[in-house]
Amino acid sequence: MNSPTSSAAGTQQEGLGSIRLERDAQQHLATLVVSSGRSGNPMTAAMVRTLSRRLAELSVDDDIKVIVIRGEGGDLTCGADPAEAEQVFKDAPGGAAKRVPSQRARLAVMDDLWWGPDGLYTRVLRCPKVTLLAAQGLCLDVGLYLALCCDLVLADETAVFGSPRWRHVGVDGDLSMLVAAVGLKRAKDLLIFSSRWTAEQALDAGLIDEVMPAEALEARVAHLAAFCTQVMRDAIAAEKRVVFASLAKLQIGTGFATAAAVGAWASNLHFQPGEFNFLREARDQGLEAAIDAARRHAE
Amino acid sequence: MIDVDLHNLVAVVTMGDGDRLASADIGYAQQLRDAIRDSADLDTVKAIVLRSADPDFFPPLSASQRQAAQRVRASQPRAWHAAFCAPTGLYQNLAYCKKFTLTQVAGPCAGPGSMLVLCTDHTVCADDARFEAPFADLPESNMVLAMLTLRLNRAKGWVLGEDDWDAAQAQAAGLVNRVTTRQALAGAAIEAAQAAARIPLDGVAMTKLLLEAFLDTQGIGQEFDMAPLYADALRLAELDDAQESTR
Repeated sequence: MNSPTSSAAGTQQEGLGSIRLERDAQQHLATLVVSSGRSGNPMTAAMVRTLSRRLAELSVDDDIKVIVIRGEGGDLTCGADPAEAEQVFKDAPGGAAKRVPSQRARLAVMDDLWWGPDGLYTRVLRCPKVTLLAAQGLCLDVGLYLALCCDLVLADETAVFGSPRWRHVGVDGDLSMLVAAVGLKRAKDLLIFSSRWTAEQALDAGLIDEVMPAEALEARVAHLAAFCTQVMRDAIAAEKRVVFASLAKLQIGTGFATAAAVGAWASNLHFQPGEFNFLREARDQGLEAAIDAARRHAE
Repeated sequence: MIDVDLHNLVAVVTMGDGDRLASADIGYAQQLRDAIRDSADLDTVKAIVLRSADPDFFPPLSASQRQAAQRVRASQPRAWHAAFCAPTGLYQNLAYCKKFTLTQVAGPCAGPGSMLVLCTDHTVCADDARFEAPFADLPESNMVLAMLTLRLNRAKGWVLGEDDWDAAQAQAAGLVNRVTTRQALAGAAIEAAQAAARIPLDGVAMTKLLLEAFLDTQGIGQEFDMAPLYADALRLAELDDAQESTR
């Protein structure tokens, strides 16, 4: 960790892509930049683990009051890297024992990457610092949940929110935050129809806080982050604890536990004749062809 | 008469004489529940559309319907509870249905119609639709469901406000998902159901399981359990009103 008074930046390279940390102790601000270097900014499992680890470190960094999360290259993220859709389970303990990854491996991955105590969504949702998401371009799948878990979400007009993956496997995440943010029937619109909301639609629904022209996003994020850093550390900590207490009353933790279990089951579906099976398509035709077929299926 | 038409992974349940629900007709509620449950049990069905055979979905309750419903609740409280509010009843079967459910609404939508809308996953309505809060008439109305759907302030506004909501207001509040013309309504509802039916059958089951778990944590079932108490409160309020008017 850098000294409390220095302004510093560091990059953590992990496999494909990176999570870059820009830490400014004097401004009490840390920025985590999602940068896969690929179209849409897909997040590999290694990137997700790095992002979670960085959040854990910043959570106990007394010099930091505000954490900004943003993407590089025009998109926040199109979601978890589809190239790893099956491999991520095979790499988990017990995952490679048979041709089809075991249920325990699937459960472990869901817990480890996303919903468990060290998972990304828990780390963001329960972060004791102010979390601010700069949303632009594709904010899908992981991007949607980052929007739900962060305290404040500013988006530019290019931002789109949703989870197209649900079209192919059904819904496998936490619903409690989504329903609390946008209401039950609107949430189901995203869930059942895999709708993609524009920034304006997301604002109307209550998913995000502000929309602005693309050229204004960076300055507005900087302004709001600077404003939040003026708040006393103790006040931030106290307010966040009040939020955590409310989350508990809303049974958000129960929702996360359910999401881990259902996510593991949903990764191992049986398909009826005529139903679209992304993993089989990827195995038989290659990843790009499978992604194209998935798009056609959704139209 | 309740008609069920199965086609291309979608069941369309058409309610003839749907206003019998307004009189708390226990037999009719059981028939409608069975139509929904039996359709949901089929592997060849992924989505269920609920609609009225009449041009209007559910007109506001008449005084005679209110009195008839009150008589049923007073004389057959257990049978009424089992048919409407209990886990075996109409509304919980719809709210916890294991397939996707949609309502197709034109014209006025009040009382049981509004409860059917609250209990289904998705609602497509005509631009002339008007939505009346069901709470004054139906003790089985579920406030938790309304709060989850509309969020707290809007739910209170709907319940306590003077006016019903037009289609645009209902959509803005999150009660309705799509608004279209009367002419395009049936097609839009089927189109939405078929779009929902593109999710794999296992995915539909998983999605609904997740929703069910969520509704349980939020107290939907507990609120339905309160219905007999609300029924008593409604009966006492009506008695008070009657006494007041004779003074």
